[in-house]
Amino acid sequence: MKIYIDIEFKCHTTDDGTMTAVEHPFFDGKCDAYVEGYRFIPAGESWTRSDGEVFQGEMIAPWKPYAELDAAQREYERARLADAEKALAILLGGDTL
Amino acid sequence: MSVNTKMTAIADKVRTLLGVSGKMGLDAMAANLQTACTEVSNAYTAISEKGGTLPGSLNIVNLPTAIDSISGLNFEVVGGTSAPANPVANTIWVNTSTAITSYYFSSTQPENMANGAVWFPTRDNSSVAFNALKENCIQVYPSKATQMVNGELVDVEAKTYLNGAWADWYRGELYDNGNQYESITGGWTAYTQNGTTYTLGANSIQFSGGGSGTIYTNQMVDMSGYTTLYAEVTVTNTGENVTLGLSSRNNTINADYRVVEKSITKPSTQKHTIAVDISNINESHYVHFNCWKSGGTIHKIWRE
Repeated sequence: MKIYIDIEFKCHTTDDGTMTAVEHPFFDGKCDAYVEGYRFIPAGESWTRSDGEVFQGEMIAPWKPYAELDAAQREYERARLADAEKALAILLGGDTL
Repeated sequence: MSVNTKMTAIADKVRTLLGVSGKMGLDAMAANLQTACTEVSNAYTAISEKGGTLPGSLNIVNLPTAIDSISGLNFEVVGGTSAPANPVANTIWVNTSTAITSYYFSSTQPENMANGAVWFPTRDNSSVAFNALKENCIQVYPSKATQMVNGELVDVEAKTYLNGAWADWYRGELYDNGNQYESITGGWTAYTQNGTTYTLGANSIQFSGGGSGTIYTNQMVDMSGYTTLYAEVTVTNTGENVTLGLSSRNNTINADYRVVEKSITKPSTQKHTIAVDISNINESHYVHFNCWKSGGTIHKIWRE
């Protein structure tokens, strides 16, 4: 999945024109809220945490609480499943959308 | 002095000691002595029940000292570069050359720590948990010892005197020099493809082969309170990559279940300390180390 990172290495799903595009399978199938809660440091780059610890890329880690991102992803997957079940019902039973 | 005179003098002294006035018979004095002995014994029983320290001789002379031992803390923090002599249970020795000016047990770092102050971060479990009070119970679960030294908070070694010996504090290790920390990790297990192997040796984990594979904890591991996951790895075959991370499932190399990861592509043949930011992960996850067409040795995996 293609994502975009800003100067703080925070991930985005759309480019505002200042960001760097990155393609990585880590984010495949993930919803926008999940992706945008992560930080991606490319190989060869480094990021310094607020306590001074320096992390070398390539690293992928959440900058928002992971529980919040996981909840968003689960809700997204539930909605996709519901859509799929509805589409299947239409195919099998002739219901309309 | 006649025997009778001596006996009379002794009886008078006993009366004085017992606070008895007048002429009391020996039987009555013996009964009073028995009562006094019972009361002293009851006092020592109460002292023991309230967490006081009992002396070698449970006599009336030692009673004040025993009473003094009831109140206060059930532990002691001692600093120094050598272990204190004659420690008692729950003595915490902090191995430091900087004098300890104060100490804190708390889940978050105290503000404005003075030089020499020691902070023991607390968690929901500990290898050296203790009851802080002699009476009632405040259970404390320290995770490690840190000290403010010249404006920097540094990790310092700590040990607790338990069951007659100095016990090392658990410091977030998940694998170290052959120790799999099974009570925390459930042990480590490998899943491999296309010829890659992991070997759990006596002192390290060896990995090699031309395929891919992962070695992971059998149990989810609590990451709350920790900010960084580390692995110390010596790479001998640069191959493609090595990765350290957390997963929501333990028996797969599928990227779908990865929560965080740090990868080194074509790492140089040397000892690496791989670090991953886990400061926003406060749940339990499986810890994994993956390799792809790489070989080397895992020495240690730990959290701080």
